[in-house]
Amino acid sequence: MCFSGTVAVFHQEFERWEQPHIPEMKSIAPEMVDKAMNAFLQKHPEQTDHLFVVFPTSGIPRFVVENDDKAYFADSNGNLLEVERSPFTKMMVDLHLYLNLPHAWGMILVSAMGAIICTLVVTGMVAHKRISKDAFRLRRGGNGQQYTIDLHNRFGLWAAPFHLIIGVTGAYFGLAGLLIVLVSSLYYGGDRDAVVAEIFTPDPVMGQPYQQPQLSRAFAQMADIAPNHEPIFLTVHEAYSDDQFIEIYAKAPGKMIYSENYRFDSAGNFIGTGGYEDGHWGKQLVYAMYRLHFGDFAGLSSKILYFILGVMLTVLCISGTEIWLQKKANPPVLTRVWQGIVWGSIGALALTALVSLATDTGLVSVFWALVLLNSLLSVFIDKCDKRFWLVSSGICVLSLLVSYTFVHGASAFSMAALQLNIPMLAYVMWSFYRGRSIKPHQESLNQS
Amino acid sequence: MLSTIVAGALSLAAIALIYRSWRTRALAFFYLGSGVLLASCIGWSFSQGWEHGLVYALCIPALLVWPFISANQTVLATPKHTPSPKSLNVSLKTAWVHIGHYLVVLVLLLVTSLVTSLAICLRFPSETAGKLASVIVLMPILWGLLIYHYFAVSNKVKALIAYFILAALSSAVLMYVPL
Repeated sequence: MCFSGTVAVFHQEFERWEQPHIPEMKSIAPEMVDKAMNAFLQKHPEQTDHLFVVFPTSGIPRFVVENDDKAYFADSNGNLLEVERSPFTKMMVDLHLYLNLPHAWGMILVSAMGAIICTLVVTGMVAHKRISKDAFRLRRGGNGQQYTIDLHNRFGLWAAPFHLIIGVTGAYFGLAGLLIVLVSSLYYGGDRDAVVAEIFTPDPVMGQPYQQPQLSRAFAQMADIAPNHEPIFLTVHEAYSDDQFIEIYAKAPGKMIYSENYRFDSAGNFIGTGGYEDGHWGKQLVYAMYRLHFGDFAGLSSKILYFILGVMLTVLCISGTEIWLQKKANPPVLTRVWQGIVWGSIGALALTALVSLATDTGLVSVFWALVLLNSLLSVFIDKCDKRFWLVSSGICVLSLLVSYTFVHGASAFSMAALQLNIPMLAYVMWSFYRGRSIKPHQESLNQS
Repeated sequence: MLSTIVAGALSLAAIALIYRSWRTRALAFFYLGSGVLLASCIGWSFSQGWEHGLVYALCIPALLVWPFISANQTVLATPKHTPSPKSLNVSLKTAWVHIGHYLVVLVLLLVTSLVTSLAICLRFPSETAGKLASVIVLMPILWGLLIYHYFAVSNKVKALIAYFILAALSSAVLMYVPL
């Protein structure tokens, strides 16, 4: 969970990485919105509930037009390019949000992990009597056990605010559904929409004769209505019906809320906002959960901060289990299985990304089959210890990089690709170095 | 940019003062460090807006503390004896006990924390949006505290009875006490 979440901080960057050759831009002219959408509708005239336009200021500097099923990139002149394809990113985000389980149950289980994180923060503070006495202590050497304990406690203490943020916001995503069901049953006669409307501004009632939505006209007005708000995407709700309206989601500067929403009728006349930016604090707090959880609120700087803190949270969870294993004097099978799961997951994810270069389907099966295989190998083969899994994860990531370069050619050296390929190459080098530097006594402990 | 550098410097100064108080066991430095930490919250809020600034002010010390921890490293001697691994206690009874704990934590305590948080937060003097947002923040924390309590107490039966009573009382409040 923590590892996939740490990687998923860069889900937008992974989307770009999967199609590195797509032209990128900083902005688009308003008239190109209608042009691209018209070209898309000619290709896909089928009925759909929604139409979408994703703007280059969304966090991914690309221009996308889509309906509920298909998405196409467009260039800055509004010409359609190719179908959007990000199977690995979708699989990775699904892994983090639902553990690849059926969504209803997966989300509740994952949310429960959020509450468990809150538990761990509380128990960590209460249970460690020397937490303030050891606040700056790090004892290396020995059999490594004290180092693991110190590292675990230092991460737990100093990054506690981040852990609480992740725990509370993580729990929200699945538990909001339960909350809505309970409150609607108790006070709203089972009307769930009425509860949702207390937080999220309900759709306007339009009742206008259907007309082709004037997207360019609506988008062009954003420069006057909200000049400091960067548009993220545009949705045509209730498409092809009398209740059709246009909604533009735009980042509110300095705010944690996902967006302020600007609504227009089909003719592109401004109707009003969703009222989030200046709305009630409760409304803003709930609408801020996404950005608070994924660290997507101040561009790359907040993402890097969340990535580093996410690595700390992952190490905290891993070291917690390692401490427990060390207290049991490292039972060989359990220790190997745990290391196989931890380090093997990195290799499994890398190989899943490698498979995604060739196919869109079956990625969930590939990942979990590899995790299962790693666990079985760890059970039956003594040599499959930490050093083995660490180095093998490096080899898997290196294989991914080589295959990626082979598949994408020169595009593998574009900014969209290099921003992830360089960190991945650094991981490869670190894993080889670390694998070689694991001390024999640590290995023998794991083997004992 | 300057305001960000100042805010970062305040965070660093706060950690340095707390480290000094830890090294010298002087409480005055701790209070001073806490005051500077508070000032860093204001600095970050001034620099990035209070919503982003508060997150930075609370999270960045987790990065800035490492030079101080590194400066305080010690190296332990290698132990002469390596403990032999304990045998694994795998039995059907243990498995059932763990499944039982799992159900208590993920089902019973979920329900208890949900209804209790609702019973408390729906009485807050706020609009419905504020009440619901309070539930979203309180519930996982309460759930976490209850999980801690459950694993900390030796008498699990007494704890379970207490959770049932808490859930029943909260449900009664939700159903019969008007808002």
